[in-house]
Amino acid sequence: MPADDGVQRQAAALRELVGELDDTARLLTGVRDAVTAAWDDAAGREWTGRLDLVGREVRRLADEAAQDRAYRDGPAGDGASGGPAVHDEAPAAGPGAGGPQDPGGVRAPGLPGLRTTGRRGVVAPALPPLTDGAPR
Amino acid sequence: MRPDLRRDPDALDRAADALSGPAAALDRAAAEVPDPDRALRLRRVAEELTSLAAAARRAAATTRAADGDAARGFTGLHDPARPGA
Repeated sequence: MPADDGVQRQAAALRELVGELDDTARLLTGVRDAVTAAWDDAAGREWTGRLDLVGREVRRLADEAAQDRAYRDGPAGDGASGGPAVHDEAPAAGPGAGGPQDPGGVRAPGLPGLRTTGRRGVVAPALPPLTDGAPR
Repeated sequence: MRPDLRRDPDALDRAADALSGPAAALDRAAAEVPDPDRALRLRRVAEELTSLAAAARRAAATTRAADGDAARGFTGLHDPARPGA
């Protein structure tokens, strides 16, 4: 079925992207260690600082792509059974909604974690229903 | 390696070579990603890796040039053929 082919192609592309980004992150760590020893002056430290920023962005991209892949695969590993992707185009309402790519909810600072449900705030415990109008 | 420069040009060239591969791979991946935001971020990462590789190559080249100048100055200073050396 063409739709299934498209979903499977997307899933395969995401798997490939996650692998590529993971490999890149590992390689950047090795390059950073090598350059730290080989270029020990102010310019070298600035260079490794830039590389650190790139490495962080690569890890963020890898985490997001892995989340997308897991969400698309769904609990049964079926590409068609997943819900909306983390990067759903639909903007979410609420104070966390920062734009069309923002799924809303609390975003932990410095971490790629996102709250994926629309439920927010404190849930107050409910009293048990009264049966005969008098407290028990 | 000159102690005041504290750079190993061969290691910097190796680092630049190591960064070139993933830069090209991420640029190719960006062309196939359907999400435009993610594609843009991948391209930025690829561009920054390319820029870092170029900076490492420049640093290696300037270090080699400085090493060459220092070596020539040293041999000229201690050339026994030069009077007063």
